[in-house]
Amino acid sequence: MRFLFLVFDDPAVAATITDDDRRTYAGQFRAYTDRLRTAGVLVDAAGLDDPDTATTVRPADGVITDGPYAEATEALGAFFHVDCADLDVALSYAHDVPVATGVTVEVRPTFT
Amino acid sequence: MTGSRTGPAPTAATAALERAHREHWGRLLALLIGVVRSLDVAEDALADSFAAAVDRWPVDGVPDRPEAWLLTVARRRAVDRLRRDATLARKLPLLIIDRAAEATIDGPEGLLDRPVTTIPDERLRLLFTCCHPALAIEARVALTLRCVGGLSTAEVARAFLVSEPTIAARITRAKKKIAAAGVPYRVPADSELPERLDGVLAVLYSVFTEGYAASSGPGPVRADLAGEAIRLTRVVVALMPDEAEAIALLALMLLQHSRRNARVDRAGDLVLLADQNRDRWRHDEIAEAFDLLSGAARGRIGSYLLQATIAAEHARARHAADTDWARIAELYAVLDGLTGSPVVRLNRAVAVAEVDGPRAALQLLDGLQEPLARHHLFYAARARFACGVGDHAAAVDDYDRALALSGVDADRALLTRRRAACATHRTQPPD
Repeated sequence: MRFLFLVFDDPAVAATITDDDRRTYAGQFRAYTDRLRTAGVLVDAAGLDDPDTATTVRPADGVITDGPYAEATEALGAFFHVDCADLDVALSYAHDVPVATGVTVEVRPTFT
Repeated sequence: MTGSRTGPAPTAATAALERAHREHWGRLLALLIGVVRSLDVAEDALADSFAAAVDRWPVDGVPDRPEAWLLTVARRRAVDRLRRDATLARKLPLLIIDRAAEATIDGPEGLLDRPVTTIPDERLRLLFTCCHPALAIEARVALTLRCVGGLSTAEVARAFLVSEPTIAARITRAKKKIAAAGVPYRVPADSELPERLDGVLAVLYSVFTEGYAASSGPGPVRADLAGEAIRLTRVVVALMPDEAEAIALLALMLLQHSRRNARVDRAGDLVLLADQNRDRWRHDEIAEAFDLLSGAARGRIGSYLLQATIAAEHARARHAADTDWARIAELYAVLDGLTGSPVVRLNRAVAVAEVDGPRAALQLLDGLQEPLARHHLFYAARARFACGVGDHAAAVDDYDRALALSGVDADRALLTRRRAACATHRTQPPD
């Protein structure tokens, strides 16, 4: 069963972190991704660039706008797509997502 | 229950059915779910088998082993449905169950051949699934009462004074989420067990407290709901006999429940612990709780063990004046340190008031107003302490706040009496 971990950052916290913090976090992110890969559960993972780099498209009418879809207090910062036995296993991995900026992780089953 | 028939009701069959429903619903459902891997299909099949019993038992007589009869019919119904509706079987989001369990039961067909006596008690799995933290707490409570307790949707709705469609929707949504979100049908691994067991016990205790201290409605005690919680906790204790906190929770419930006949007077008003007629306590239940506690005391010191030990101190006192408040205040101090709960601090203050007086108690309430702002007992306690130190104006204000927040008629009657007693002092200057 596949699950997507949607990792949300608090932009207020993200604005205050230093370059050193970023490097540390990047290392933790790679280590965590490696752990998922070694365990054989990793489907895909990536970090997202800042929300202000986003462009939004509405396929119904082709309208293109600058910025992310939702102006939320928390912004999507990364995702991990995993394949594991059940929700409990997924939650135990999600529990260990590296925390840089007051992170919240939403765990959702995916289908194809 | 499964519904009533018109015409002369053969009492023996009806009684046997009701008994079978109470005793076996949860266990049979837990077993069927493991086989068909769907809460809905299992529940429908079991409901069908009880409906068949309503028709057959009055005519054929009550079978020697009602649960075996019910299971045989239910598994036939489940197998028939899955066979007939092969598309449904393919499309159904199947529950995730342990491979080990899967190997012991080779699908619905395999179950048909198994004698009922060799079938394991699967209720723990069902309980852990119903109490999964991925479900909203209201859903956990409703689902547990429905699936493990065997209450009908109407009974759950009545117990919580919520409309039946609301409860039905809550249960349906929870069942869908369990299947779709991949909540596994199993007892958690050892590493997760303590935390998840705490979650199960919290659900059971919230069922109990809703019965014991109803948050709304005409009377303060709904013994049926409290009794249901006790019945379910007995199941946990029977299936996990080494879990000290489960045993302690059962003892705690028994001790609180043992006062039910003394807790409300003839007019339906709440009687405080100090004023209760202790002869009306259920001393058989108190004795059982003491037995349980002597076993649990060897386990880890958890919050239920401390609460039960406190309740036992009250139960031990033959008269209210014999209560060992110093010991109770000590136990509350430990519990306060362990939980950091504002409600525990409030109860601790009540005990400290008995030992060291209202001024010391008032000090313990510092900082509690924010977390307990909607809690009528906080204002009721602070009003009593304020009255005790002679601050009658503050006391009357707090009684008014408590009255504005209390939804139970019996509580309100008591608060009104106390407010009146305090208000008569109001014109005198505080000493």
